[in-house]
Amino acid sequence: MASTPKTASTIDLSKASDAELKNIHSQVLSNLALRANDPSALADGYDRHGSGHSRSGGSKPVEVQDVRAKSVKAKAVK
Amino acid sequence: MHSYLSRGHMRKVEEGIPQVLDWIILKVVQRCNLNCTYCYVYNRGDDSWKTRAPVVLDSVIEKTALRIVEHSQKYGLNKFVVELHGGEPLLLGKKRMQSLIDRLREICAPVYLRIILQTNGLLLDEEWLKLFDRNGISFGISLDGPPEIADKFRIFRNGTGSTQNLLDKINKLRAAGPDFERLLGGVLCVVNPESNGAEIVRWFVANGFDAFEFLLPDGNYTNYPQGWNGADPYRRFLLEAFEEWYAMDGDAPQIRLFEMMLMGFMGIKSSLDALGGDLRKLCVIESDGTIGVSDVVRMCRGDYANDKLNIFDHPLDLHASAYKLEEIQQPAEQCQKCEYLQSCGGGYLPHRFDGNTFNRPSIYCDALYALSERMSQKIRMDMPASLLRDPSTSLRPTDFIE
Repeated sequence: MASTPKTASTIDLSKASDAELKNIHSQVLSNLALRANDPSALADGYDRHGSGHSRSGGSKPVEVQDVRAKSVKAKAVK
Repeated sequence: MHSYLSRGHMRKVEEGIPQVLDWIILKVVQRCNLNCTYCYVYNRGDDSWKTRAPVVLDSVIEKTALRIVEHSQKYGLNKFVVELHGGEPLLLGKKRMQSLIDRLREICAPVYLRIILQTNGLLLDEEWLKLFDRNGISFGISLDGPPEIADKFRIFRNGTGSTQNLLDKINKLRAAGPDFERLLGGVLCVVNPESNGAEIVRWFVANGFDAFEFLLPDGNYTNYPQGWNGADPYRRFLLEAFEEWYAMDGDAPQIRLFEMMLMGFMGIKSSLDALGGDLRKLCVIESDGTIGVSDVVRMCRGDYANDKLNIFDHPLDLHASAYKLEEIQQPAEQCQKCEYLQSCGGGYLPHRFDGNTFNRPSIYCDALYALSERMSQKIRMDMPASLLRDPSTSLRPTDFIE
């Protein structure tokens, strides 16, 4: 079984104050907005749902290993 | 990131960020080793695959890469997604696939290419996984659930079911090491309306899949899905699946349709085309170099199945104007008045076609409406009241406050 981020929060919201709830909501919202509109900008590279094509099952970030491809990538950042 | 998003910011999110094409679907093979009865490529009325090059031409690969560079310079992009699709893309073979990847990356530098692939999985082996790994490729597979459900549609050309073959393949690859899980992005599952949604969710979880997507079979008002008996069976399936998924709480898998629709209630417009996402952001390059809209739209036939553009004569961004995308993908008038437009987005464009226009709700409207309504009820029940009442959140008070 693969381990990936789950959907639900592990925080006990029933014990959080209104201010804490608002802060949590704010963070979740900011994160969701990024995931929806510019997922590759996230530090974790999360883009599992893809960026819009429903006939794509989604993807994960995978480091390029190939030597030739690496040289191409290195060239890319010059 | 820790401060509240302003209402103005959220309005911008709702309206969507400027839509620049940054994703192509490259059809590297036109043929498939399966003959799924619902397939939009082969069995929904578009036969254009028959007359195209069976595998992508070298000249198309090179010109596509040059067009990506040209397009990226025009719009200031430093990264671009190439999704390898088919037919079945693995029919290209490993040697040609490696050559294709090398050529694309070589020409496209300095634009960083993110390459992904969608496969039916039947040809996967450890060598393919190694190829994906060294090239930084993540893949998605198509799997509709257990054989007794999936094999009604996912069949070989001789009519026999394919799903057990795929499950055996997956088990073998999992036993061989961690690469399969590490490289697998997610799973596409086309809904079989005769099945139970909750059971399907549980089956995927029990079989170790932690990210998948439910696709509604392609069809519209002139070309209904196979065995169509109205949207009600799909409504039932989606509600069963959603209730099961929602109750799993922290153990829930990622189901794209549900997550994206829930995000709509938070004021975040989904980029997913099946939920009204902007089709100007992606285009299809066929094996012969034809440029088209997302190819499911071809089943609408007529103007939408005509080849108008090709990679040799046209830049990547003309498909939006050639096919009047901005105009036709506007939500239907009925949808614009709907309280749940923010979650379903009016549905998938090809599912809205009535023979003349796209100014209709999706044929799945009743199912998507019921799902949205159920989601709204869940949010109302489970979201802390202080947030529902707070005007600075992006939650739409009219959705949740009596």
